[in-house]
Amino acid sequence: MPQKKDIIDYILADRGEEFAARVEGLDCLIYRNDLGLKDEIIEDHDGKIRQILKENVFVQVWEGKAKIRVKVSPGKKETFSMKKIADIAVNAILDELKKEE
Amino acid sequence: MAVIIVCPKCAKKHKVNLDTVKEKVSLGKKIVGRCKSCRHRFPVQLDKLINQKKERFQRPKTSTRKICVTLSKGGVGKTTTSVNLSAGLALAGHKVLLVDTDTQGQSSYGLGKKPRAGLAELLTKKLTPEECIVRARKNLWLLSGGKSLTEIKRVIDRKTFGAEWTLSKVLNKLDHRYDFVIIDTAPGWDQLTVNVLFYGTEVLVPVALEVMPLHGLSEFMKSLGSIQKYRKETVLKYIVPTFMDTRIKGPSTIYSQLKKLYPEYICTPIRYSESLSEAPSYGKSIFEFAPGSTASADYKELVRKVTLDDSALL
Ligand SMILES: Nc1ncnc2c1ncn2[C@@H]1O[C@H](COP(=O)(O)OP(=O)(O)OP(=O)(O)O)[C@@H](O)[C@H]1O
Ligand SMILES: [Mg+2]
Repeated sequence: MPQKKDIIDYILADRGEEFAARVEGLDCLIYRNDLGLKDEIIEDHDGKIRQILKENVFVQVWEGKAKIRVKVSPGKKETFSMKKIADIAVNAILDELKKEE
Repeated sequence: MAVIIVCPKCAKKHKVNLDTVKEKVSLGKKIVGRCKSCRHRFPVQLDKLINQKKERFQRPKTSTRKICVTLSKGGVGKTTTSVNLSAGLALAGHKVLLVDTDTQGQSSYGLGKKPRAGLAELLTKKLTPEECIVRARKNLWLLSGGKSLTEIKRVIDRKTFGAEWTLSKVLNKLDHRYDFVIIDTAPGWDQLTVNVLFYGTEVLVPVALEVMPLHGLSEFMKSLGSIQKYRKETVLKYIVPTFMDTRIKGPSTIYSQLKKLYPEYICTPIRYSESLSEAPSYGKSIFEFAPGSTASADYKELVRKVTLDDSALL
């Protein structure tokens, strides 16, 4: 546990992964294919968090904290190769960096 | 025990510690005070002041409910829900303070107010609560947000200790005046949002029934876990589906799934309604702008859910 003065920083940087069980069902719901959800959405919150959903791969890039989260769902029939996941993530990050130039 | 004695001439307030005074004078005796500012001398009724103070302490107080309306995803209906829930609770007879912690200041706009001061001036102690809080409607008060809140983030960042309590320290002093404090938050996840979650105890998450808001909900529920490590009192109470479009299949399916996943939190959805997007530009709540609309009915239902009063606003 961090020192008192770092509580905010700790919370802002924490992914809360230890609470992942809370949202297991929700994450399954998000990746269902029968919801008629759009495939690609790009979002930007004040430039602080960037979220990209592309072919069932969800990438989140956080400004400042250099955090990247990638979620993958084998929603469609094919399974994703490691290479493909890395490609999508890297593309997302490169897009992000291009914007800052 | 300290009391405030006001000079009848210059209205200057003096804080007097009764314990030190009591040593010098026996109760029941008339005493004369002298204003340190204008030197005016006046009689002080010590007994009366003590009794007033005691009464205030002893009055049974049903505690103020503090509800944070939050989700990092933008445009899911946080402000719309904050404004209309606050307005609905006020109509139902509760005293409500709506606090806007967003730099966009949309909550005030939605109620047709343009306060010159708000939360920022209160937090930086530039102005008093009386100068910062404006009455927006009967039973409804407003502590507005706006651009000046960016300064607050700097104030929070500069603190080396207890920065997460910055907002609580200020609001806890005045929230006993209200039955409900509703806090509208900005999209994103920053030091001010953390402060809001250290202040409020009940969390209400509006969520549009689409994939990105659901991702936002998933992330938020985990982040709330991080908060709860330090602040157990803060709990998720309500998930409010918004922009519910009953004509297409997707949202209905998501809603019924969410109901299965989180039966204890999920509320009756707020349906998609043009009136909700029109009302703010008239500075009106949905109950004023379109009292007969589906949106008005939906927000009344939310008021009943939150107050646990089935007959509210019927
Ligand atoms: N149920 C609804 N039906 C139709 N329009 C709605 C509904 N709820 C909100 N809106 C409109 O959608 C827009 C976004 O809503 P709102 O401002 O409440 O979202 P928000 O979460 O506060 O956004 P931000 O994250 O930018 O603060 C507004 O124009 C609002 O009037
Ligand atoms: Mg808003």
